[in-house]
Amino acid sequence: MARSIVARLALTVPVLAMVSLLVFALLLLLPGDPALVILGPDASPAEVRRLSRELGTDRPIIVQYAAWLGRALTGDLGRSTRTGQPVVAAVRERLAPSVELAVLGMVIAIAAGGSLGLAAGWRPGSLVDRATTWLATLGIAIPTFLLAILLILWLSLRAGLLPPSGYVPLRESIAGNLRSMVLPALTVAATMAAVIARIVRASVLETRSELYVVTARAKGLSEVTIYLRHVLRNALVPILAVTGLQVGRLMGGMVITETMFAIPGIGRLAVDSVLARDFLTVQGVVLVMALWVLLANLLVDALNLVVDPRITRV
Amino acid sequence: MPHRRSAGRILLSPAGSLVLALLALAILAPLVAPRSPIAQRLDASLEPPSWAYPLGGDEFGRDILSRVLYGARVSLWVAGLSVGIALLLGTAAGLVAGYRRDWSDLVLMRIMDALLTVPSLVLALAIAAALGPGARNAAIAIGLVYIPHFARPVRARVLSLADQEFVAAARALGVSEARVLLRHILPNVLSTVVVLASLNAGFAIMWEASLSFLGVGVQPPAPSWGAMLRTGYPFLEQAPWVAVAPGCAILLAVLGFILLGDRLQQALDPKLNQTLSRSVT
Repeated sequence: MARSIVARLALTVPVLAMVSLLVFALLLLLPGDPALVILGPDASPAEVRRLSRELGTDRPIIVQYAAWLGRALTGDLGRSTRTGQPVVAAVRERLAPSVELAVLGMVIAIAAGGSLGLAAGWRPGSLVDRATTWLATLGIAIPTFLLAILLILWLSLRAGLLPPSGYVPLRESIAGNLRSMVLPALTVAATMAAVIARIVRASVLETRSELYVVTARAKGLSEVTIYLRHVLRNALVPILAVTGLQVGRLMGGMVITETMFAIPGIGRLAVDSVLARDFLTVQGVVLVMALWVLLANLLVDALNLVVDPRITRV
Repeated sequence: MPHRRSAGRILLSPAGSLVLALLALAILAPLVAPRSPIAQRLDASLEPPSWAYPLGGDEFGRDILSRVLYGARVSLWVAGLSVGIALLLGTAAGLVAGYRRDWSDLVLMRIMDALLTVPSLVLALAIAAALGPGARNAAIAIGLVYIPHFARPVRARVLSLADQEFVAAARALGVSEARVLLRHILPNVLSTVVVLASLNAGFAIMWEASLSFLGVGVQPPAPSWGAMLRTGYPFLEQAPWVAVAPGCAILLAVLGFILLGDRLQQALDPKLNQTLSRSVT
């Protein structure tokens, strides 16, 4: 098991290298001189020359990339052209609310999607199954910002149950923080819950007809025991794989959710920086999010080894 | 490829008719729309839905129905262009990688891994921002981000096809590599590509709306559903119809394409399991 984890870790190295190239290439997409684009038309020629030298845009691309990578590896992603703050510090400051939102969203998504999927797979074709399938399709098709608008309209403006936006730090008030996070967490969780519900249902239906389930039934085990111990357990590998794939989608949803609910996380930082054409910060956020997804996928692989000891190949 | 009768059944299914209706309304927008989508009438500002303004008026008194109808053109154009980019580049990459299985496979697939590692909305946001605002740049950004959505499933299909006897036979006859790929393998991959195109068109409409909602995609006064929501959102309490109408349009359009994709998969590629769930990124 340890060997498979090491092998999997080794596989992430080339992906990481490609991600770094991709993040670096974002600057190459800028039309014209990156330094001029980043600083805007009002910058003095001296400032532009200084940033050009800093970015190294006067040198060949390979050299530029090597220099950029060298600095990135030592934790230097440059300074925000909007605030003058080092990009790494700006991202670190914004990490806590995003981590909280992501964790809450995932917990809700796994709990809601898992139970809906199990309920649907219990009696395929039943009313519960058809209702869940519809709900899940709707959950996949609804854009995050539209769901946020509907939740704000119904639960906040009409019913007055929860604050429409604003963020209360965990340190200030735990109750206030949770109240401010309910709507954002529900918004972020919806698509993931929908996908999990679909995949749980499909995987459960597939394992139901396996011979070991027939054997368990012949042994006289109760249907519930069979469902949870034999069917669900063996369906977990595809469920985990798809859940891992959803982490990226979750972060895309976080970008929109944080913007709409005024949560000072890295998703909001991404939008603010994009709108201010602060590309060095954009690079930083993209890099951090990619690292996050890579870590999540490593975790899923490790969990797969626990769930199914037969998996030794990567 | 499907039987002609089943093709008709798919087009007349709820999902198929939804997509057809959307296409028809987009094409006929200048004939169907009661007013100009950008003409302002300040006395009709935030006008509630009525006979004269079936879906109400927005903050500038523009007719929301007309804007939703013209907005369909923007959405479909972006969806078409981005899926076209992703389909061409992704299918080509998947064909080459799956058939050659050499260093090109390794390099191409690591690029796809990297593209999939960055959350797609964030990457599209960054690319669209770097290229500059506008529908075309939003479409290019979404298209680039979606390349792996075609490349990976196509590669998986090619891997299983490349070992089959008809491919070995073609090769033994001395058919060139390009010809094997295009004449023998590609036709067998097409059903997968068609399913993916429909699903991804739905997601492309969703991401275009999201980019425009965030202010990066289509810019006002052009009628884009996402941009309409962006400007209508502050009036949510006093005039919810300004945001609800384009919101429903987005939802119906996305739903139409992904349900059609699901339907097509059942008809063309029943072995391709859970494509929809796996395509959500």
